[in-house]
Amino acid sequence: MARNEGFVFTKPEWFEASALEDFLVDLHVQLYVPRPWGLILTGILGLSMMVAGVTGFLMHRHLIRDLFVAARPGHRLVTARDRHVLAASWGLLFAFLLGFTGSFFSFATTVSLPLLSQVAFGGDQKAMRETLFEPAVTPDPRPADLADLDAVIARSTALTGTPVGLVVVDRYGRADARIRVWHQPAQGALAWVHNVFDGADGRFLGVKPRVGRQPSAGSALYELIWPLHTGDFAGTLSKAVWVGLGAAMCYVILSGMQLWVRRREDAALWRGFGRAVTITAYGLPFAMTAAAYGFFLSLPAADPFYWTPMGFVLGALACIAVGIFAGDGDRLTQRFRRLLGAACVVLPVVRMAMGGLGWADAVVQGQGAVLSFDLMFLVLGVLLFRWATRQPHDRPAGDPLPEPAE
Amino acid sequence: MSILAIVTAVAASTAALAYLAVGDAKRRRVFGLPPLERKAWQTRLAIAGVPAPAVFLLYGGDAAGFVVWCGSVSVTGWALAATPPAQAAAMGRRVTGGMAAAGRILRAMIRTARGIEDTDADARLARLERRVAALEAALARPEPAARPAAPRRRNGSGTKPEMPQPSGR
Repeated sequence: MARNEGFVFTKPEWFEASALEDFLVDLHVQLYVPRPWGLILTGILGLSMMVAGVTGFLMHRHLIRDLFVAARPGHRLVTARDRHVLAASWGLLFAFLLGFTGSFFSFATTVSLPLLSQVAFGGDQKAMRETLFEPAVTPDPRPADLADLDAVIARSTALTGTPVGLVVVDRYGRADARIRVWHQPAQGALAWVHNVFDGADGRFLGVKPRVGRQPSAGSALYELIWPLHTGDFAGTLSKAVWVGLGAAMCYVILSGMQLWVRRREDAALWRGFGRAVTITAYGLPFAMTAAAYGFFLSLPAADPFYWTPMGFVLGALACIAVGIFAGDGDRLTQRFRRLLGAACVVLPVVRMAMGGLGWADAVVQGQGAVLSFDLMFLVLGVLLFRWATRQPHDRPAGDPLPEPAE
Repeated sequence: MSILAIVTAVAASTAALAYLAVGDAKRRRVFGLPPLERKAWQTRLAIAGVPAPAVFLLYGGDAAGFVVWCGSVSVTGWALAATPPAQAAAMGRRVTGGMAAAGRILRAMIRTARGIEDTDADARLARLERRVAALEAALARPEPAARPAAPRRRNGSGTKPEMPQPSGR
């Protein structure tokens, strides 16, 4: 463990284990836009997703009757509508859930908590944080050594029975220091466990609810927000399911936008918007893969915290250039698929060539995530190539357009 | 929380959903399949069978399992419904064929391990030889005079839609 002096949050490399993880989380949480604007932006987008779920539910009159109707054959507008409606119907509950929990997190620190501090704490955000999120403590500024962290973590693990996710030390070096140990949820539970220890003598002070100092319905609901948004409560199984749900949401959003454009493709402006949708649909995953390239290639000799976002920007620019200059319609889509497929297939090779963990070592060390991600990228790349080599489906000349989608 | 319990619950609910999907009247109508005669209680039982495993998970105090079940069934249900009947049938045949092949290989391995002669294989070879001989004899017979073929109607000429257009609303 490296020791760094000063205000740690000014240097991401001091508190982040991976520049790639830091970038991807930042992109997801606030679109790499400075606070609070990025959070407000993602909060609004989350609310839009929630509203789309509710309006979709109200609008689609035959939700139950159409629940098993696969897309009708052919490549007509009604086929595209069937695909969108089917994915949206099955993902309705989770569109609402993911939208709500995402916007909750985005607005918590930018709107809700500052408002709460104004209303209940006279604008004193420190007092609000101490009351809501920190364990009770009688101030004692005398200097004191910190208790044995290993012993505290071992005791906490013995008490809870699940692995440690996070350790926080409040008022380090003082007699009133507190050690807070966060554990993964117990068997069958959703909420993380928050154990509190005395920082000076290592005494166990109890389990603290997420909000306040006594268990409450509000705290129980607050504790559910994180696991329901991230799927981080039952190990790989729940995370894998959440990946599937997230992919379904992306499909619903994209198919909805494509449907919207297709109904208006007589107008040149909407055709241009349709091209922008295609560029975004393939460009975003490509740029994210390019960020991973930037990270792995800069690991041996350069600064990954600079080259990871730079890789994303370069990848995005490359996709925009391809989108503008390289054909249109099915040909453009096929080029994007080949490009993304190649990027996916080569990434595991680059990772290993830059000194990353080999598969045999990963298996021996129990790093299943390394092997899983490499295999996922390889399979995804091959599927994209196969998808790209399919014959483009031209619509018959007599197919009337636009066609009512409802 | 037992992963096995969650996987079993998801598999049971998916099986019930598959039963409902196969008999779904609108799905069959859209794909030009004849309606499947089913009794009302059979459909009701399948509908009850979808959430029943989740109730068992909740009864066992497995809140995490219940949430994973909700997410998984959303994904598997979508995958089931999105697969057209013909493709689903082909996949089913492939799975059944694969299972049969795996069973044959397993039986052969067991026989080899026990040192038993493959009498089934001999009988099958004899049957195949008889069948080949019969087919050869049929091919050797003189062909009847060929009738003029009716002109084939080209499919997908662009003027005739593949399916009736929706009426819209």
